[in-house]
Amino acid sequence: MKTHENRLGPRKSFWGGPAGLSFYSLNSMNFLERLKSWSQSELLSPFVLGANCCARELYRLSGPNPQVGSIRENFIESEPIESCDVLVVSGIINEQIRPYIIEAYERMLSPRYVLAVGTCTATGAVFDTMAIDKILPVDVYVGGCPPTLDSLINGLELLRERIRKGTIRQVELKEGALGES
Amino acid sequence: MSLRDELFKKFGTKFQSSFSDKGSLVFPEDFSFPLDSEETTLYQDFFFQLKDEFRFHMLIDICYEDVSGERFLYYQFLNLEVYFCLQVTVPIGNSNYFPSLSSLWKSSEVFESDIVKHHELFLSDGRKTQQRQVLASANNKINQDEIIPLPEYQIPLRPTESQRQRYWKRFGPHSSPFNGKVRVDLLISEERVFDSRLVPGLYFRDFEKKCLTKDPFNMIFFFERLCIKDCVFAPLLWVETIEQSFSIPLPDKAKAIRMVWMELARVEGHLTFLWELAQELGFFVEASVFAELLEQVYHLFNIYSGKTQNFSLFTFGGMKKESPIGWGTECLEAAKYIYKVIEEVEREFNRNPRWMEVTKGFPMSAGKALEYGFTGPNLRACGVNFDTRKTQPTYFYDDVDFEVPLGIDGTTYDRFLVRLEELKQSLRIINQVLDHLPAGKVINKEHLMYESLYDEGSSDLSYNFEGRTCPYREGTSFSSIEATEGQLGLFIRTAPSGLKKLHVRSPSLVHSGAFSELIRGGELSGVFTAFQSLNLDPWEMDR
Repeated sequence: MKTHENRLGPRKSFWGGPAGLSFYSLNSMNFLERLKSWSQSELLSPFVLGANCCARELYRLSGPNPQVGSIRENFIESEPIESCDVLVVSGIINEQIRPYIIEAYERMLSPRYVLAVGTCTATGAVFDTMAIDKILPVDVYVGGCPPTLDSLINGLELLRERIRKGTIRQVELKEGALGES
Repeated sequence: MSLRDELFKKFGTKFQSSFSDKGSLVFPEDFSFPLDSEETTLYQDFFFQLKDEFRFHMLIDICYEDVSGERFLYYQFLNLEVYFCLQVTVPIGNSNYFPSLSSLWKSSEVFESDIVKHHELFLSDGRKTQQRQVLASANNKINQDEIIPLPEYQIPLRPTESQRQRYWKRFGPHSSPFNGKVRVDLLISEERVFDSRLVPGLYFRDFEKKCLTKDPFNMIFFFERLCIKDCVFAPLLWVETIEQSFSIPLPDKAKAIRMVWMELARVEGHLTFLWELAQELGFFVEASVFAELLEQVYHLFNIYSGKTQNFSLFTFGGMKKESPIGWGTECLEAAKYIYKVIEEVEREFNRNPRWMEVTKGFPMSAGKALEYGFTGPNLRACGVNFDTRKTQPTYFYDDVDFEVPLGIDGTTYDRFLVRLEELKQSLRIINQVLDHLPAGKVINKEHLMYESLYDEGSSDLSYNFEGRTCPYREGTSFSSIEATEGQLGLFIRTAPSGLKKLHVRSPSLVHSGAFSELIRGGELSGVFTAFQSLNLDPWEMDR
């Protein structure tokens, strides 16, 4: 362990990490790690939290639209929330729903990923509410009010690609770190 | 003697009143709250007479306003026999207490608790004060950092065996039936439900207050984000109220195309309802059929506006865009196809014994539905013939041939069947309107309001943001529209300087008041069926 640290220098945190994180992690992955991340990226189970216009667009992904294509094979809904990998947050974030979002994130098992859908969640600009980055570490943002079907598919595929390449590092949060604003 | 004259004869001397278009009564200023014993009886007598003698069986809305220390309550009543809408204004002075009407109209409970939640007010009989402590803080805003705890069940002194086993349990927002939508607390024992509580406020975003800071043109986009299932009706309601107050005339083609859009939105809303219901009850083949039909409707939306929801198409005086060439014929073809498929699916459902068994529960009588203030397909499923498209026809609804389908018992099956029939009638209306589509422009740009707004000569409607003034009339108005879920209402008070108060009457909030009684005594597995069959929209409920 000591030699490893000496060679690469002290590890920086995810938040203030170096810009070339993807290059660093690609090289450091061995065969088993690559196999693991590939297998994770092949089947993901999302959990949608939200009841707004974005959620309605999200439910179209399970419909018969030819645009959706092969993404339906890689993302399959499952219950309960403990068996899900991706937390899809859409809609506004106020002080009422914040504890439920944190609870949902804490109930999910590692590795877990967060996808923020829509302008309300990403910036809180539409109704002057809270942005999600004050609560949870977000992996992929999807913009739009509401986002189109294409941008949703792009967002999901970007998430899958980043998991496969291992560029998303799971952050081990300390106790009480969540929900600080 | 008409109802209007009778009302004027009885109350005209004591109350300030105006019965020009819609009736309105203002309480005399001697009323100071908290009331004395004599005044209380007078107050109760007045409302009792309204219900008993003048047959105002429906309380549509209650709105609260604080005008620099002076507080007012606005009640909207409706007489179903002659379709007469009455507004009663009650000034309550500086008092923190206001009287409850829940003994006369059950629907007032929902509105009153909504007022108690968001303002520094209490009910004079002391109910629901506990709820206020949980949900609201001193500065008029909901402030909650922790999850609201479950209520405690107090076992009675000599409990039966089932009473001993009862306990409260939380469902949602992230457990299986209510995926991320809403939280419901249930008192259960042995898979039976004895009491329930719907926890509101998860999507509270202070819509009504934030509207006041907006420009009337920006409000159209804001209103599109009011409810998820009615992204046509809410902006149209706002546009219509402004058109009425400025008396902007509409060209015939704009009226016809707006009608087509309203009916398409109704088709889409009912198809989403059917899709969700079929999917949650495990009828996946039928659900996929509904999803396919939905995509057809989305395709029609996409051709016209380039979007599948939040279209930003409506403006004051008409539509923003001309309908694209060939859109009408595509609409007609799609309507024909949807009608054919829906008839087949209906036949399949009626033949299916499992479907009939799953949907037979949760009845609602017509009297109760009126007490709770139901509107829309939920009311028509109970057998009450009430549709504002028939009673107060706007646009060309008078000239169009369509029927109002009615249910019998108000069970889940009736709610399903009424929506299915309404969908067919909407398709009929679309066919008739598109067959006789009038020629001309879709927007009336000649009105005075537009002179400073739009650049002359340019084909698209790019307008100047500077120098825009909208002098409002002084007074209050309540207008409503027949949306997919029910009557969507809008109360505004305006002064020449601008918009002073805005209040939305959301149908989902009213229907949620009956949810607790509907599922009491039922099985746990049927709770989601009841929730789904009422078609509650939490995004609209919380506002």
